[in-house]
Amino acid sequence: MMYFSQKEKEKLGLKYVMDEIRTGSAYGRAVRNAVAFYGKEKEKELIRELERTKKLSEILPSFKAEYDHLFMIFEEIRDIRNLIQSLEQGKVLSELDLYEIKFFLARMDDIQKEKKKILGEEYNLIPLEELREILDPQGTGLCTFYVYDEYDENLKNIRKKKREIEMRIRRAETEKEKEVLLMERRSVTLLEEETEYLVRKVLTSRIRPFGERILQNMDTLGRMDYLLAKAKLAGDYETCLPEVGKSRPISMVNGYHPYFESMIRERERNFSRISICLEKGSTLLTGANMGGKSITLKTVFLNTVLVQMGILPFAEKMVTPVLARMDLLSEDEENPDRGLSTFGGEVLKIREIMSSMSESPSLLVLDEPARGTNPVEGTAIAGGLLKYFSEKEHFLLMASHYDLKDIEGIKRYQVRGLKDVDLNSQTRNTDEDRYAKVRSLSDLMDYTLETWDGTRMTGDAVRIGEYLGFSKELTTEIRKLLE
Amino acid sequence: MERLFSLRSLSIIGMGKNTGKTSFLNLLLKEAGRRHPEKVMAVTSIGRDGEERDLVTGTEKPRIYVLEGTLVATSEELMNKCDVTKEIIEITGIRSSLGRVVIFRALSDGFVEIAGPSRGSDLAHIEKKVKSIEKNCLFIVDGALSRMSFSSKTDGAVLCTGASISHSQQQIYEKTKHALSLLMLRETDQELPEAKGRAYLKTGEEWTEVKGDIALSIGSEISRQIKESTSAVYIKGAVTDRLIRDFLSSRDFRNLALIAGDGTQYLMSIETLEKLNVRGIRLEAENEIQVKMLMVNPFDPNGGETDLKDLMLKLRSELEIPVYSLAELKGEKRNDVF
Repeated sequence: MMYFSQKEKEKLGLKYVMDEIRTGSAYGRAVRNAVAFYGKEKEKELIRELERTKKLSEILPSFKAEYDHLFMIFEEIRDIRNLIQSLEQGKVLSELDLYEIKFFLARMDDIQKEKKKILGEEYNLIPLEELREILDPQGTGLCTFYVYDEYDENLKNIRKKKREIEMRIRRAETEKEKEVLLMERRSVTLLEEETEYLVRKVLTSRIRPFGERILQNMDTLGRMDYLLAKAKLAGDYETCLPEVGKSRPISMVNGYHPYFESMIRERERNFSRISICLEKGSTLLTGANMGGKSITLKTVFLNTVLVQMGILPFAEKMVTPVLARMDLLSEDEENPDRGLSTFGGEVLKIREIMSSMSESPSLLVLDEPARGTNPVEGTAIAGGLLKYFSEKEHFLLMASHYDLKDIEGIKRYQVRGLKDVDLNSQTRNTDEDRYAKVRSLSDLMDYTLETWDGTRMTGDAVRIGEYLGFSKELTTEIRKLLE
Repeated sequence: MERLFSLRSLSIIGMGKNTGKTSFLNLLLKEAGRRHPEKVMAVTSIGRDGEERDLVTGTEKPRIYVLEGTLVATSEELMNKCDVTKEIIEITGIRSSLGRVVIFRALSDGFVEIAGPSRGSDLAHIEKKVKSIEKNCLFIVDGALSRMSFSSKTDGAVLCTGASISHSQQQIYEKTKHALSLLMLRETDQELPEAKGRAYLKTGEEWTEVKGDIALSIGSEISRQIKESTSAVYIKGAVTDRLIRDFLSSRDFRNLALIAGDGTQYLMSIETLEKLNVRGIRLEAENEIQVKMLMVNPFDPNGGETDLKDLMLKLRSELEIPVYSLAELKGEKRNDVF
């Protein structure tokens, strides 16, 4: 079973999305944290889960009051899994423990009532009426708890005696008289304590058989909480129901990465959406620096990963098969502990991924592989990888600056970049803050992807250098060399 | 005295260890049961109180004895030290040093140990919960020594003083009067700045923030910025002798208002207070503490009882609030008192 480490989740923006799935209860959080890839064997379940999420996200806005109430209860219920598990180990429940269980039962009822309106007969909780009766022997329906007189005749009599003494204490005339009575009371309270313990012991053994069902309800609750949170997120953002199925390409129409988009929105800019289609084999992406290649790779990758986990992707349209593995390799992959160079770390990682690729399709995304080595061999390595994967059942998406126009049988995209922009007309005050310049440059950049025949493109890098302040003399020298 | 029972909330604060806070609380609870059996008492503390032995001085301490029906907010770890029959009403999300704060109702009379929240904001939360259970209850907060500031949040306060703070009646008298004069500082009528700064100076109608570390440099910074036209100084946090010493170094620190959060924030000696008087400094508070009564404990922690007759006479003639000795409250005269 493949999984991502915490660090990888952060790097991919997966952690950002998971944090945005706002579950209310500890049970929901547990489900969220354990969410895994469905895999090929569970393809049908995956499709059902995606459809269920989509459907729910569509109806949720018309159940706002119910959802808010449900969420409030989720936030209110405490995590008492340990308590229930300790039942099995023979622990005698304390008054507080018994209160906790009673409180949980009451909240369970509230949830069952409220969720019916939204989810119908799905996610039904197991009714535990008998257990409630045990914890509410007076039938008051209240959520409070004490070791009730009704549990034990002996306990009732002890309390009666205690009460009599307490009444005499209230009427006591002298300190001396009071002290004697307090001593007497002390022995009765000890008796009360012992008897309460015995009663709790009996109660615990009566409750024990319900433990398994309580745990099941906690699990159902958790899954309900997670599904609702997932659907809420899907509705809050622009997402779509993806097409999942064998022998499909990986295709995304107007996709975006919610993390980058949120950052860009803070700067009050529009982020151009990304459309790309990967067929089995190799796809090469090229384009100017600052052209958003890395963001493109991360966006395709994140959305593909999300679908595999049953989460609706951030796109207008998305198609993907169920994948066996997904890997994204970008800069700084080397492990500093082993003293490897960027290049060495990259080689090891690619080897490791390739050796664990199975029959079913996998997705491998490489952001400028072999950029740390000399350009001649680097070009050959990048080209070799493209060639190798072009014959395979897997998907390789690679961003590279190397000149790879001779490689055949691969798909190519380029970022439109600054092609249609007249930078000369944009040149501003030379004293302008350099960060402002970089910002305005990225505002001018056209991030749209277009298919490309592989013809070597040059010029954007020099133009950027010029725009950001290379002297006329220097750029003249550079241009001469380029020709 | 009767009017304590008409308050919505009451704090009991002491000038030192063994000033009879718990004894007073017990008397109050007992009298409430006798005179207002329909009125629900709700008890909690800020910090810890109620152990059999005093954790600090090691002397025997009275325990809190509540009557049936009382609401108690204490920490879960102290639940089994409460020998009343308990109906658990709520486990709050508030944490104390001894676990979560639990609210229960005493279904019998008996002893309880109380450790409520340690933060003022949490206390307000507990009060709200308790009031939602019993709207008309009297919410009583037993205050730890170091956390007297919370008493500005209750409708009224009872200050406990007594033989344990000094051997000399004159000393007890002076210390108590000094404490009262600070605690009962009038609420300022100035409009105070709402920003998060630690110190402000007022010139005309304008407040200007003074930046600096409250513990280290802010005193000298304030004294440097005080001008003849400055009409008020507002300090968020403790006003100490040291801080005042810094202020006094400015010639212009005179005839103005000095404002702090409440009376408990003024942690200064009698001498310092006199110097401020000479300079014409008016002490004011953002929140007024309503001290409703002074309770004097003649009992020594070692068992003796001091004759405080002269002290009582002097305090009674000078103070506008009622002054009682714990001996009176405990003794036969209590019917006249309550």
